[in-house]
Amino acid sequence: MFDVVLSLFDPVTFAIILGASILGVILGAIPGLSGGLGVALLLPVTFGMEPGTGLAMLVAIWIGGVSGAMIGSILLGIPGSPSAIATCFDGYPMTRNGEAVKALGAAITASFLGTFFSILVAAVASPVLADLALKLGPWEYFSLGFCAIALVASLSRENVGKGMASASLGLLFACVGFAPIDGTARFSFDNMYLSSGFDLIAMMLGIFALKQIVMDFAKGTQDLPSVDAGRISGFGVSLREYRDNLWNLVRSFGIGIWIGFLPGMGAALSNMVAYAQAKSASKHPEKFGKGCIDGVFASEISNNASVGGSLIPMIALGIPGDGTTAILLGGLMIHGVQPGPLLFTNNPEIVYMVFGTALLSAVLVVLVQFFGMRLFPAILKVPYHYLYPPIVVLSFVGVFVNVGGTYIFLFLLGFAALGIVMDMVRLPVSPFLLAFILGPMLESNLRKGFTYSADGALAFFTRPISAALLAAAVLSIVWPYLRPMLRRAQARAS
Amino acid sequence: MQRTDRITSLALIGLGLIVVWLTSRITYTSFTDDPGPRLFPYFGAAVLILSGLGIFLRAGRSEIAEETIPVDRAQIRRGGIFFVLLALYALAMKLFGFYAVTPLLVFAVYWLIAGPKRRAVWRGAVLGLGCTLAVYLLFTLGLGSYLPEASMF
Repeated sequence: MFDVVLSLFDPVTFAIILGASILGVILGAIPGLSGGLGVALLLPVTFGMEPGTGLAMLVAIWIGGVSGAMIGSILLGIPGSPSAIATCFDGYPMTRNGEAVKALGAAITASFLGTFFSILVAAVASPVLADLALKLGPWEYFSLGFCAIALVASLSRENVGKGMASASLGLLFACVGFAPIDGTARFSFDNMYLSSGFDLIAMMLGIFALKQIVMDFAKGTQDLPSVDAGRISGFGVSLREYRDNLWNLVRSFGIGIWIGFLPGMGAALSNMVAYAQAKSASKHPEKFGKGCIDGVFASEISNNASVGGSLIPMIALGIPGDGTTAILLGGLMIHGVQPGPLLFTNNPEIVYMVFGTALLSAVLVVLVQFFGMRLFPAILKVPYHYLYPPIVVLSFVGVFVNVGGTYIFLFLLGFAALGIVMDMVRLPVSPFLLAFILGPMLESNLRKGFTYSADGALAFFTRPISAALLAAAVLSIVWPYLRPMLRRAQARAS
Repeated sequence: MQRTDRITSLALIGLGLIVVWLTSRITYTSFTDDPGPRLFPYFGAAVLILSGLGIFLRAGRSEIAEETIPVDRAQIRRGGIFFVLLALYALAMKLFGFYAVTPLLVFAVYWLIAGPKRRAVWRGAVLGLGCTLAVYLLFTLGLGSYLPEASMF
């Protein structure tokens, strides 16, 4: 272990980790790119390196990317990756209210806390938590996913029907292409581009970036938000605000690490669930969506906690927690390291290297972002006629690089149009995106749940954890309707 | 808003029924106890139809007083023009490649957004060339990615 610490601070390795962390932050901040893409692109570069150094580079890009994704969300209202979608909900309104640096400060500290402590938990509890994950079956995974969607849909308190309609649209969009398990083609109409389904990056950039630019141009928006950089000290967040959010931070951290370590789920889900929970449990839910720092804390600590969470099944079981850890897993295997229960015995230095790099990278990222947080908002001083043209180009290039074909432009524009229509009829986009992300996992587990049990659908309701999650989902949908009725009944009684 | 909600709900219910019809036409080979690829689309369509009904019923309640969505024809026209520009960019990039059309797109977007009081030809030209160069440096040189090439030639 001491050797690993020494090798982390070897000048070359340290420089690689620092450079990769900064690159990850940059890739994470650019809409359409992400730390995951950086890991994929630089994987071949590691072939010529020592396994430990190569893995250190990949882990550092990943950590930087997850943390950097909040920059676009807060400053532009465009999430750098799906893991920072919920950060937009309050981070961008804070920017519009002139609190960009404060929002960045909250996000940076929450990101650091989430990453650092989740890695520590992962290092200590990997074997124990991995055993727990293996005890969950498809019934629990389906119910958890459905509960998450219901929670996010119920955020539209004034009209849960619209939240659920948006979520069901997301589920149906996820059905396009080949079905999981048997590969039956659905809703593709013999079109080869539809047969692979819709691309998440095109959906995200269309609905957030292009929609926003088209609507701003249509409305003639030219007012630049003011920036609070001059009167901010430290991270710009008071101790009182941290103290008031202590429970919010702890709860969101728990959600992040739990969802992160469930295979197939990850930061894209955890940030929205944590946000939904923070809003539901808040004493002032009406402030959410208008620039409430609690929402930024919840989203950012949870998505970064998923980093440590997803390392647990990767290290302990050899099962990737999300797409990026799947690539990291591939990187381990390419370097001749077999992940799984024997990794601790056969290659302990690799385990220590992964955890050590992640911790070091988290510290480096928070330092880089601390010194950069007063510079990042300079982007807000750029008038829209200089800012928007590069964003349009990056959106098109981002989806092309991700898919490798110009047909994806049609989907990008289609999703921009869909985002505009949804905005006009007030259908919330977050349940739509979450349902689209979770759709394949939900379907796969729903069908497995039917197949694996002799009880069929009944098993979803007879297994305790699954039943509790489904009950929570139903309650979150009906609660906004029940609550006024209960209040009226209470008022009559008193 | 009530009228908009009613129209939205009817559209959602209609869409749900179309999905049900399309799903019923899916052919597949069944495994032992697997409910098959129709189950999930049926599930999604059922939630969509129920949600649509919920929105419709809520819109009918007289105590729901919400603002109506203003239809500003000038805004729709401006949004439409911008959207057509983006569509033209997508088409032109496929035909002529990234490097030929991106400076023009950036210039056009700059020109539109800046408006008559702020725009200057040289600034637009510099922005267009600068953006294209930056993307080349980041994606082609930095990340080793391919950018759209002309399919016409």
